[in-house]
Amino acid sequence: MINKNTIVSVKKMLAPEDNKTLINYKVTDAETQANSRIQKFVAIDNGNADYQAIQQWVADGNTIQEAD
Amino acid sequence: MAFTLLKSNAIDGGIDRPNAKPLIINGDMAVAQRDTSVTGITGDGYKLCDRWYEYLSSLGTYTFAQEAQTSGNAFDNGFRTAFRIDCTTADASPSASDEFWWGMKFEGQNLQLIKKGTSNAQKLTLAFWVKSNKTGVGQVNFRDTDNSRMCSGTYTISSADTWEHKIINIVADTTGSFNNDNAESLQIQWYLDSGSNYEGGTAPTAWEADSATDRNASGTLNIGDNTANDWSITGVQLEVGEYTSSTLPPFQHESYGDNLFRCQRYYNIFGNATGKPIGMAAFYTASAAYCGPLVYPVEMRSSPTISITGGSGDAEATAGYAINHSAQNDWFQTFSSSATSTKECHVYVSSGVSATDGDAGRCKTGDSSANVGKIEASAEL
Repeated sequence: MINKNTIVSVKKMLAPEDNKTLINYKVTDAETQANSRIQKFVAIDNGNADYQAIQQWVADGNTIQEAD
Repeated sequence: MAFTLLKSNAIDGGIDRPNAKPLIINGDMAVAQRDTSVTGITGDGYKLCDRWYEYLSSLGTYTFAQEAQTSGNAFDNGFRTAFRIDCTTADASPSASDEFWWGMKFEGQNLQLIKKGTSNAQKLTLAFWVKSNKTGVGQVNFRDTDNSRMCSGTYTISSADTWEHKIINIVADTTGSFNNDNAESLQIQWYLDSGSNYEGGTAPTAWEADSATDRNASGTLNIGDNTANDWSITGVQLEVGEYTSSTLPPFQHESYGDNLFRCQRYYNIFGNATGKPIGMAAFYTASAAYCGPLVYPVEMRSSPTISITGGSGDAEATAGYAINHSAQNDWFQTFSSSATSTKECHVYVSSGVSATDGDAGRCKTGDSSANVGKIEASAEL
């Protein structure tokens, strides 16, 4: 469960097979910063509560990073 | 063969649903896929028993535990596990905006039988077993998040450290229907502590527009004010209709398997032990290994968030995962998440592996207990 207040950054992730299809968002938050073994990938789905938290985070003025 | 139609025992309203599953999922706290004990909790989330959520904002530090029951009134009524909250760092003077509540969130499509927002709206009855070192009054809120409305009830803990059974009746609401979808429509909140922003009003016994100062207006438990404090709960049931202690239907004890299956609509975990198959076959390309599908036992509520916990390196002693192919292991630190749906997900790794394009293999977690891998899929509300 991702709390928008603990999000540090959000990056677009592309499908490795074509390197252009957006497949999910990789989120860095307080938990992943505290434990570097954890990675969080949020589905692009309006019904996903973490996706909704990212949208609120963006509405607060933050920006999603483009993929590498 | 005689057939007897089971009838609701409600003194007002009620719906006959003798073969239906309980509205509350995991009310007996038996399923705890994530963990059975978590320390150092300072924030919100789903940490312990499945489906049960805590909202905690700058109001102390806590340990949560799935507590085995071996005696007492809850045990005598068939409950072998409880959700226990222990305060480990106190905050006796919370700031105005601090709050701590525990509870459950519901999908709107599962609540349509309540007929909220219609002239036929149903009353509700909430029942549960509770125990605390503190005596006093606790407030429970029903918050309609589709229409920003709330109604509440209170319970009194009369004897410290003693399991007591509580029943709260919630009146019907003819205003504001629940959306018929998979999004959150209702929260049930047991307030445990709060700052002044959530106090000072009146606990509403009729549905009203959501009011912050009413949310913990009657609560006196203040679980965060001392490290000696604890609060435990189990046997939570929600019935449609108005019931008393003498008419309340018995708690619907599910088998562990049925209970787990319903929890898996919201959360699944793979791996989480050394050397365990992750239930997927790997397929190599020239630059990566794709693994999948990781198939969920039941279609999840939404496409989930995939959290991948890896190891600390690509060596056998540090790897979180391995792919066995051609009689050898590719040890590697972790996966990335690829495609995800409500039914399955795929993961892949593009470093630490080497094989010929087209090779296949089988995936497993690594051998190091300090670096054990796990893949979690969460579609919680």
